[in-house]
Amino acid sequence: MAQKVEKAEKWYQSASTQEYLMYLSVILLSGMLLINPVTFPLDITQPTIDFVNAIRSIPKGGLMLWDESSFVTGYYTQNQIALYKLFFDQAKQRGVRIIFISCCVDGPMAGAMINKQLEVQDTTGLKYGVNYVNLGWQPGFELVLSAIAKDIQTVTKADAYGTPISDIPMMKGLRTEDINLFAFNCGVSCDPWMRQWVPLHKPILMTGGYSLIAQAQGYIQAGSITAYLNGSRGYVEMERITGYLTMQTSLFEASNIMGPYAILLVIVCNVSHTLQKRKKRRE
Amino acid sequence: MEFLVGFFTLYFAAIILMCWSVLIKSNPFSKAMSNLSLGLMLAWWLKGCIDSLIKDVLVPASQGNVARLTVLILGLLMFLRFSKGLAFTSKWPLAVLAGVGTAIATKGAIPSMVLAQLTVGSFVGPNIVDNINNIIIWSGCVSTLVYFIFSIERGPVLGPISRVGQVFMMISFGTVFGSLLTGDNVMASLAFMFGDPGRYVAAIGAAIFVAYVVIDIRKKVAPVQKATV
Repeated sequence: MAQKVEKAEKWYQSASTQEYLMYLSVILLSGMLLINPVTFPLDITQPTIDFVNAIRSIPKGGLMLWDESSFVTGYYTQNQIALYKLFFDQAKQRGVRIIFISCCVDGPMAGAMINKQLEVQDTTGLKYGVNYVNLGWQPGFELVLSAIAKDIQTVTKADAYGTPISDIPMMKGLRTEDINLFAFNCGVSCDPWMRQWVPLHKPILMTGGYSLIAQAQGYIQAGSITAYLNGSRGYVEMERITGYLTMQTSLFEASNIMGPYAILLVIVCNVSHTLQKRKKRRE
Repeated sequence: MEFLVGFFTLYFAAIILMCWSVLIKSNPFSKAMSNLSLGLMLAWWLKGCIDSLIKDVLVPASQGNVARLTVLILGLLMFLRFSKGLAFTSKWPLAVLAGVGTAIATKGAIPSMVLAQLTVGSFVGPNIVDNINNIIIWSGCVSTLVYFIFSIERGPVLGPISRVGQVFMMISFGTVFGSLLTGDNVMASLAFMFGDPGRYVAAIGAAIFVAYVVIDIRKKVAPVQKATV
């Protein structure tokens, strides 16, 4: 009488254990990079260099407009802090004035984002209403973009804090033509901005996710968009240029390590599976 | 005040863990967080809309700019959808919105979306990498468009092209999904959990998770040897 004994599966051979270990190693690997940031070599692309140069080449005492579309998560991931710092550096060094506004189609959270950013920025030596102004979230999306293009004075009666526009020194007698540079953070297709701002024939800067930059290629090749920041990588490249590294760089490196990890995992799992198969065949 | 800040920081860490718990399986905590985020978003919207209604309509109207009330009236007409007899009037504000939106968009579309595009001299890139990219973009665009043409029968030519389009879409969707999973928001949550005081909540969460894993593995891995005769 033959007796066949089937060996019980060891705990580490279970599929669910291996799945848990896989997740755990992902968390530990990326967590290590978050705690001890490592700066991997990174080629800085031309659009990012152009982006930073465009901001740095605003004439002395000139004016720029920034349209915010990032939600508070953007503040949380710190991907905008270095950008706002770049704006304020220009304000301090060359007297560039800044108008902050949010025409975001996704709601008033982007207006809250401006408030959060302004809270953490070092505005020493700058005066609200003279060097910069926050017009807050304005409902209407493309209608607001159109109003900006037509006459900045018609966009709103009061700033984000309820101060009448007529009482803000920087806004007195200001015309849309006085704005030297338009920049926007894009959460949806960039078409509305292009439709309203391209006819002004002023430099336009864009920041947005990879897919949105891909959609904007037509405008980029036509020269309608002067320069752009391409997703997280764009922000990290900008941080490398300005030398002001934030958590965004750590997050980028931690995300990047996932690529090689996934490839390694695929190779190791396949090799291991093949070896196990061979072993069984021999037995 | 400091106590409140500390409390809300810990609460925030707990929220992150509750959101992540969906990775194991859907549970009341993850569902509660899903509802909370939706409710929070709607509350923000409502607040923003009420604020703008007060700032842009009611305040100017109280100062004599009665024409602003037109907007309010148009908005209220939307609610007449609930009345069978007057439901047709709810289409008027939509017509105004569509009309104004189309007019505004059309005004700027010609110079930016038509004339500016004509200034692009050549699609040939300055180097080989750019040209390879252009070929990939063109082939991806054309094959994906072919995939969505249902009015022509897929023959020996269109069939393989649409299959290529399908592959392009699979790669794109996979990339978007992957970048979301390992994206900044998830990573930032992770950074928060490794920081102070998030690490204390993370430690409690990890202990619960380890206990769950041990129980789960014990259930799945049968310790008894099966003997067949």
